[in-house]
Amino acid sequence: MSGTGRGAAVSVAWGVVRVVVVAAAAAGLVQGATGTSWSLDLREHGAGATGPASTTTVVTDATLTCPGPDLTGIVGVADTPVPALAAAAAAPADLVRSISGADPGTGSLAIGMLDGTSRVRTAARAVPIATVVTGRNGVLVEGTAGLAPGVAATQEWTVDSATLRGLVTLPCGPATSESWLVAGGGEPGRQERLLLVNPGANEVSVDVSVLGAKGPISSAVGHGIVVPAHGRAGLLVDAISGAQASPVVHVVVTGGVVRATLNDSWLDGTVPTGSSTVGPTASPATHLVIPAVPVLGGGSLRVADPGSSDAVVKVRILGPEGGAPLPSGGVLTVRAGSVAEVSLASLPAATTALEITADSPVVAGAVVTLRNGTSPGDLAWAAATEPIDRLGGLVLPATKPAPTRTLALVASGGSVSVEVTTVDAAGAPHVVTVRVPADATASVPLGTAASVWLRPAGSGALRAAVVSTVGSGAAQLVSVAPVDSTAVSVERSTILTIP
Amino acid sequence: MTIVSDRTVGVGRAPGTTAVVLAVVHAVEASAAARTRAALAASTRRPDRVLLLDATADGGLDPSALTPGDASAVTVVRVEPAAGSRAAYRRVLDAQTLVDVTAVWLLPAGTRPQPDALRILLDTLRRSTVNGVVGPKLLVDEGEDGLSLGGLGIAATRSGRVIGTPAPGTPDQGQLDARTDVLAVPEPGMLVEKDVWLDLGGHRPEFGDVAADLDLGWRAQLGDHRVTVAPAARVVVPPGTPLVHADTGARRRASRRVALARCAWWSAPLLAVWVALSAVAGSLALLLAKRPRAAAQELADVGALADPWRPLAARWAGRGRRRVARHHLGALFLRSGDVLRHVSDEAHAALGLSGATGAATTAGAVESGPSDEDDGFGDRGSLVRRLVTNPGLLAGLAVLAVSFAVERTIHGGPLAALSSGLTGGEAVGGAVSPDALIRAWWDGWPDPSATGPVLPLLAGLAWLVAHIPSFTVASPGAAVVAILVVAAPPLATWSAYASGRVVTRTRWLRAVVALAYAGGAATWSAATHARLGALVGLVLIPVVLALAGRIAAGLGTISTAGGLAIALGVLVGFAPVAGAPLLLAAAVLVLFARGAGRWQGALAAVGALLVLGRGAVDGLAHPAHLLLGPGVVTYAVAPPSTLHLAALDPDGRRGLVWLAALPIVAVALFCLVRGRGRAVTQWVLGLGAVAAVALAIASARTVLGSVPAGAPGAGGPLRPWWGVAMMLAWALLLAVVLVGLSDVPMRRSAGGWAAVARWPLAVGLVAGAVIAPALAAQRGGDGGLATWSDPRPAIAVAQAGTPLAGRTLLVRTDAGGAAAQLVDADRTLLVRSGVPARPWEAMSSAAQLVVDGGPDRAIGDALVGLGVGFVGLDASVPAAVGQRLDATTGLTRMGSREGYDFWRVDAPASGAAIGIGRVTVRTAGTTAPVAVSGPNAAVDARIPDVTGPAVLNVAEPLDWSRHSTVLADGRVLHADGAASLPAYALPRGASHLVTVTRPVHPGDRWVQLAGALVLLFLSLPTSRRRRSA
Repeated sequence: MSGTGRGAAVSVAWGVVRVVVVAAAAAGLVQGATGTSWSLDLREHGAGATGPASTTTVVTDATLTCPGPDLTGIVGVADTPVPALAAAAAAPADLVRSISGADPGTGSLAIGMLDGTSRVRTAARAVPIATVVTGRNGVLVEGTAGLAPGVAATQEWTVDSATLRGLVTLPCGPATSESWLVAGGGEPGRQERLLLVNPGANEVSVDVSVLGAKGPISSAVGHGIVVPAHGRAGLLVDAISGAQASPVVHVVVTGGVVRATLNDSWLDGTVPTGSSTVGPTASPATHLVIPAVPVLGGGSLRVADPGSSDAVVKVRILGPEGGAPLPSGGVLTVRAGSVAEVSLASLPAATTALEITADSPVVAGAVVTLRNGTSPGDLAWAAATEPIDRLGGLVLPATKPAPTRTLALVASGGSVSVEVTTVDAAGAPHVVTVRVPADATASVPLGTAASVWLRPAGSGALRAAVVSTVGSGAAQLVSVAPVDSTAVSVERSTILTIP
Repeated sequence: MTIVSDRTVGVGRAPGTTAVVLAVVHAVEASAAARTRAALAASTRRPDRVLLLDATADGGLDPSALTPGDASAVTVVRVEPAAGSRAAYRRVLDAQTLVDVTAVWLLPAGTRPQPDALRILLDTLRRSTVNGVVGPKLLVDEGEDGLSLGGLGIAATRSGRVIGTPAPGTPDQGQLDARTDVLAVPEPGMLVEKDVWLDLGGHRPEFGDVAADLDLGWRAQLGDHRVTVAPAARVVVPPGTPLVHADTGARRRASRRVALARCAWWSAPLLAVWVALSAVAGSLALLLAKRPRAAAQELADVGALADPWRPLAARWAGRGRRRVARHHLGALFLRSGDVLRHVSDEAHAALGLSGATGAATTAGAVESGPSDEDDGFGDRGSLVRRLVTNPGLLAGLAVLAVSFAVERTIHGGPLAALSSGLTGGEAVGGAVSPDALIRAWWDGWPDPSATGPVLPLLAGLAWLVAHIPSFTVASPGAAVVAILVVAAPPLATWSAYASGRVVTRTRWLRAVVALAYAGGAATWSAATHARLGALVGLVLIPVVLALAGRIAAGLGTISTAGGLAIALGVLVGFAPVAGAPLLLAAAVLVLFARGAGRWQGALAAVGALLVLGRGAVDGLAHPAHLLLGPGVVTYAVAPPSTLHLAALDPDGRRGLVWLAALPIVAVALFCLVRGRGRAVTQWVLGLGAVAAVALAIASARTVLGSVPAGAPGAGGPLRPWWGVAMMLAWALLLAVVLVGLSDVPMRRSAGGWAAVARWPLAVGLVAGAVIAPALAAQRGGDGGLATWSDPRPAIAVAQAGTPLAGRTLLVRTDAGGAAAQLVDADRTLLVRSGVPARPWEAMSSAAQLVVDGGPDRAIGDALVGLGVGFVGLDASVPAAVGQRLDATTGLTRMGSREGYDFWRVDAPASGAAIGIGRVTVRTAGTTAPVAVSGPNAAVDARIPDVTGPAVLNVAEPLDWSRHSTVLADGRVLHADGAASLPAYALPRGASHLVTVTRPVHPGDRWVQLAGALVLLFLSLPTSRRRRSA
């Protein structure tokens, strides 16, 4: 073999070696990588931990709104001044501490008219502050810093005159973008005043619609009602629906939130037959509970189906011994978009709770009427309420004459043990624990308490209301005020910063 | 005069002349003297006398042996060998020696006057009584290459700068024959009138050789003795004879001293200053032309001023002999225009812009070697024809068409995306300006770790895009991303095609390989997901491999090293998974490269680190950060199996993707067999490809961090995208193919039937090159790219600019919580890079207030404090949040746009101000914005005189105060340590505010910038590159 030929052969041989080595290296690489689970983690310590979507922190600000004078401020309708008093208080520190796990610290609580007048401020916890409700605007309650957790407020007035008679106890609440209010009637002399309070800094537009026994009532009135910033607007429901026998009012807000309340006053001819102001009832649901219905004579349960399909509704009364069907059967069908009523007249005279279950979401409220013949009487509306979350509270204003107050508790879906804390006018708390069996009620007299606070525990859902009465017998005045949840802590969203 | 011996030999006298010419031959060696004597003997007009100056070492020059048979009389005079010819002339040629001589003819030994030379010189000398010195045309004997033109007179400027023409090696084509009057002539063949010689006193030997000739001519001119040249008289001199070029530092300085000696005494100081300044300026210019040695020589001219005594002595010696006003000699000197023209010609030659190569070919070497096939040979046809038939251009255009086809699935269309930018995939969209990008890099704020070349490069590209005529872009930065997504594949094609020249000049092979490279599966995966770093890497990898290959083969130059440094630095910045191993390879070159390749490799490695800046050092403390880059990080994406990774299939598609790679692999294996001169290269490339595949597998198994909470895939791993390593592996594999097929004839005319047998290789290569891009074009993109549009209302966009520099807070919610984004004109993020967002507590708090609610005024105050003038809620945010904002003091609903509902934040009481400013001055009653002049809250503004307590608030994170200096009327202010945002108490009377943001290590930026500029300068080719083999 010549030198050139030998060189070419060697070159080819090395070339083959090269191919074999490279191919073997590649194959070995793949084989080795497939057979091992080797990995390299270059994360720094502490990095990569993902936090929860939200965290719970103590509330640092709370705002509640009351309607202000219920019977004033509607254009074209004569004002009827009432001696309303609004009171606010923050829950006792021990309660807040035991719930949030942290000392609430100091802060301030203020109550006054929405336009800034009649403003009262305190830094003391549990001692209620009050202001006289005047003018034609709503009431604003603001708790900040340490006095924000567990804030409650109530507006109350009592009148017994020749043209107006009633005890109105209405808890102040947060403004919402949508509300259902169950109250009013079609009897002659029955007047329903819808008040819309805007605590925000921008005016809002509100659409008000009414459901009646025969379905939704269409009306051009009630659309686009402008409620000014830090202001109030009112209108008669009759202007929308006429004299509906069983109206249910739906309020929808655009561009903000409002606190809606509905006052139902009845002057039967020249005989004042009562007045009651109700706040928003519980949102449409298939299970509702009205915690306290003080049946003292007549009354009825009003159920509305805001949905698109008929609802079959079952009504049960809940008492100290447990649940029982309505004597009249307690099953009714509510057509879609309409309202139905069932009488409570057959119920014994007592404060009971009503449980409403339906196969599609409904709203409900109950009314009790107290009248002896053609004598002056009173009426009281009781709305369905949401269960109390961790803390419920109701301030009891020092109205004159002082009402007799009873706390009504109801547990559904399980038993509940309730720590009931009553606080006197000096701020001294008094705690009792009440065990409420499942689907049963319990009552606690409140005496001269200035505020009542409820802390539930157990598997069931607790609802409560305070029944206030002035006087006795058929001439007494009565009101039902739900005990709403008051925020102690709030979910704060975890904010992810997008670069 | 020193006469060692006086031996007279008979000399011939030409009949019919009355002039007596004395030929003075300075002999350093006998053979040279013999050549001169033989030339004299052949002259048509012989010198009347010959004076032979014996400067041989032994002094035994036998005149009778110089010209056997020549009975001419020669006088031999012994002179000092070390003194030089001019000193010898000066000493010997005195009045006594020249008593009956008419003219003196100087002939250093080895000089061969042509037969007519003396006759023509004498005729010229005697043509006019004012003629004092005549010089011949000097030709240099180049041996086998024949004769080249040595010079015809010495040309210089008034400052003594000798501009020698022509360049050495230039053939004589009569190009200088028009010359007559000159400033001076060189010594060889110089014919001087005796009286002139005696008047001048001969040469001043302290000026050396060329400068002494210049001085003699200059003095002759000043003495009213005309110095001329006779082009017809030719004298041949040996190579290396100093003639008309001051080509050494000593000659240059001597020429300068001649000028200082011969100028007017009052202008000498000015001339000295001019010499110094011009030397410095000239050396700088030569440095820019990358001629360091010439620059050093130019600068050394300043040394002429260090010895003022020689000019003074020469001036003293020549006193009283000037008979002509200096300004009468103006026409004899070179003018500024001549000098500039000469410098320009030199610069053009140095930069390779002219056909000259910087070194003239010799008279015999007319052929320049085989021409490049890319140059074309003979008739190259029209430009259009050349473009249409250029395979590289065609390949790139084909890939461009595929790119548009692939990106047709961009929601909104690829053309719209080019001007609007992209979102989706790794692109995040956003209004990003070039100013924000460059300031983010320079100021080291808001991300101090962004020190690499990414931001400056994107800033430069964004600036270009913003200045394209008739091309309106909403976001130059976003448009750059979109343009690169579409243009990177064809750019990579051309990059690979051009880089392939390192291996072969075969155009069609390079084009097919380039097509295969740019059309690979990893390319389209990167393009459809807007993986910016990978796309930039795709363009740079072939460049880096080519430049490194040149250095490794010993073919590199300083331009190669500079270019490699820049390319490597940029590659590491954009695609660290590919760049870092190549950087290591460059460092390895230091050890294994040949010759100058070692220091070139070192320069490339060090230069790349310089380009990377401080981030290269910081990365050592945080290794994960080294592997982060724009778009080259995966967010909780499950990597494909090991087999897919090895098959260079980044998306795990299998099927035809593998089919496309298979023929390339087969061809590569065949090419690996071919060895001989390419064996080492194939070893390196083959094993390198395997290593790159290992890198791809390792990338898929490396975790750099975790996806932040709230982002899609929260908690999942961040990994380097394995496609980058796949690109590198693919490039190396194709390099194996290119090297292996570079000299394989495929046509029967070139390689016979054996060439035809290789056609399956070509078919396989072409098939592999075409299948992948065809697949990608057919499939389109699935990365979810869409045209970006700014969701902000026009007024928010307007107020984001100066002077308010306001912000917009955009909020969205999902199951993971809420996400908030602060959008302003300082935004720099275009593509996800794995770098976590720097947490800003104040922003999180404000966003939390927006989402969860809070005290009525707290929301507005928090937003104003952040400089937020607008809030946008995404459709995912519950309606209740919006309703709450409707009721919030200080917020006014505006409307909806691009899926967001917007609210305007009302400006606090500020007089006439409209909008929320980034920087504000708050007093007891008002909050007034301060005009912001640039990114990062840069302020240089006058404010109304501060008369009461006032606080300057800057809506930036607290860290900003550590990176920035705030000045009020030149006085440094200190931030309030208790404030949650940077706040500064303003002194009473303050009226001028300045804020300056600086990086933690400001010197680093200057070093990095200077280094990059130097590397850029070095990378510019300044002479015609040597063709690759």
